[in-house]
Amino acid sequence: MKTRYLALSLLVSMTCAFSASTPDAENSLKKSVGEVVAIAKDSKSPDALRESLSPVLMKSISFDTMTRRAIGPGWRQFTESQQKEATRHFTTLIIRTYSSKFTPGESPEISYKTAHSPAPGRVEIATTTLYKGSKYEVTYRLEETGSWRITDVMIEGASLVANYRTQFDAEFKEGGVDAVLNALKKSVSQPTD
Amino acid sequence: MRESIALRTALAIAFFCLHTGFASSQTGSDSQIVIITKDGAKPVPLTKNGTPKNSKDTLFLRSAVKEVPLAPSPQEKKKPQKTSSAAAQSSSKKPTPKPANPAQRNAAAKKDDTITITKKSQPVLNDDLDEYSDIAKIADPVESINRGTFWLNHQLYNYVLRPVSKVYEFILPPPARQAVRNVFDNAEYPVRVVNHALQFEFKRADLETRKFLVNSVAGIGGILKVSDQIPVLSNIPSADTAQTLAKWGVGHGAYVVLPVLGPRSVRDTVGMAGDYALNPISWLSYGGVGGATTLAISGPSAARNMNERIRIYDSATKNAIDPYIAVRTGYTQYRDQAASK
Repeated sequence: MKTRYLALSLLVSMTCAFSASTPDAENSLKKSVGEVVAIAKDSKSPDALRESLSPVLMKSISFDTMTRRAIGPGWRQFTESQQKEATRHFTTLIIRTYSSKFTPGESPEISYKTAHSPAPGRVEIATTTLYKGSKYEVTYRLEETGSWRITDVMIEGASLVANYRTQFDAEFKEGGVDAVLNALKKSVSQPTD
Repeated sequence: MRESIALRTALAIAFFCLHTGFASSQTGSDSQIVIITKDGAKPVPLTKNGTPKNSKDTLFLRSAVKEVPLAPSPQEKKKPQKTSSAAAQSSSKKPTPKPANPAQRNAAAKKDDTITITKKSQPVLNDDLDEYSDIAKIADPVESINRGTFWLNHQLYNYVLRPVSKVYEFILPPPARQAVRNVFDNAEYPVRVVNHALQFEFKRADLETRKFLVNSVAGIGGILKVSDQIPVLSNIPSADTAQTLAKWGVGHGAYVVLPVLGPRSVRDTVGMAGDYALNPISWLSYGGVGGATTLAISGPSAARNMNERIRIYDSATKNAIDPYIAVRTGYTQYRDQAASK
């Protein structure tokens, strides 16, 4: 009987340690999203919105992780300088993609659902976002890399990282590292509007 | 049974504690462990810091014998390399981890019997590059035809539908557009209630009926979405025929891009026909209502859908590397999510 309590108490303490970080992740996300919403509301133009959002996103999103996973196993064939170049371009693309979801002057209403931790150091937080009369389910994935940072955003089940992963896979299949880098450069050089 | 599992767990933990405790008590400068090599058992002296541990956050035993390859990491075991080209190329070029430079390789070759202990400076992240390889799989056997239709749709969206959509936005102020959206959403009640029932979600069918009654009566024919103020009615998952087919186990089938309508899987194309049959707006043409009247009634709905479609299309294709693949992936993920509700 005693051993059973010992085992149970150990399991309980492990579970507590496991979930203790979830509120930190939630607070971190709420702070970042709050800043984004305030910027979207106060911005006068799409360019101004993007410019203002950029520093907030830089500290809230783990662009390194996103780039690695969007490129997939082919990432191992990139040299260090190619990895840095890919991360730089992909960061620009993600900031553009994320900023384009907002219209200057309009702010979404966001309600947070219960967060859950699928693995240690990882938290998923589902939200319902009411924007321009439509409801969207937006789920944020966060990971602890020193601090809690966003590693993926899923809008109505469509993951931002997975979306780019399928596109990079096709490029890599065609022409390896160079094809991926060229495609990134080409996409970044497109006009923003 | 539960007691037995708890007992075993406790014993395992106790054994682990005893083992690590025993090991730590043997960590003097002259302690040794025995390792099994291809030449048999050999005693190996330990470093002064003690026993190498397989703990994920401190030290781990990297390699005891040169010829023995490193075991794959737990992540690799959990998610085996996929058949994507990137995975294939990377795995063929790097069968085993190697030291970074020749000097290190030579040093490693000389240390047949030594233990290498590496201090890990960063916590181990559950991070592997193949994390997203299973997402958004759909067969696309007619890709070249689909790409052609996709290009045509792109021209149509940009040069015909987008201007029409802007006119619609110009004519109708936002509250009126919202009212149109509400009326048509409300009228599509049979699509949702029949499919909830076909999915055996009778509670949702019941809530859907209540929502329809509330919006039709208190919301003046569905113009106002009063149900949004009632928590239990404000967030009922949507249901359509394609979703029902998915829940019955029908797979996506092939991916097709339909002219004007855009991406569909074969399952969703069949589902779309089902939704059309269940939608009261489409019943008008069978009920003796003239073509012009039907068009006048369904026109705002078409404009509303067009508006929504262009917004989604822009969102998926802007900043894409390959807009065709971006739309295909986004669509597949969206439908997978809808089917899982």
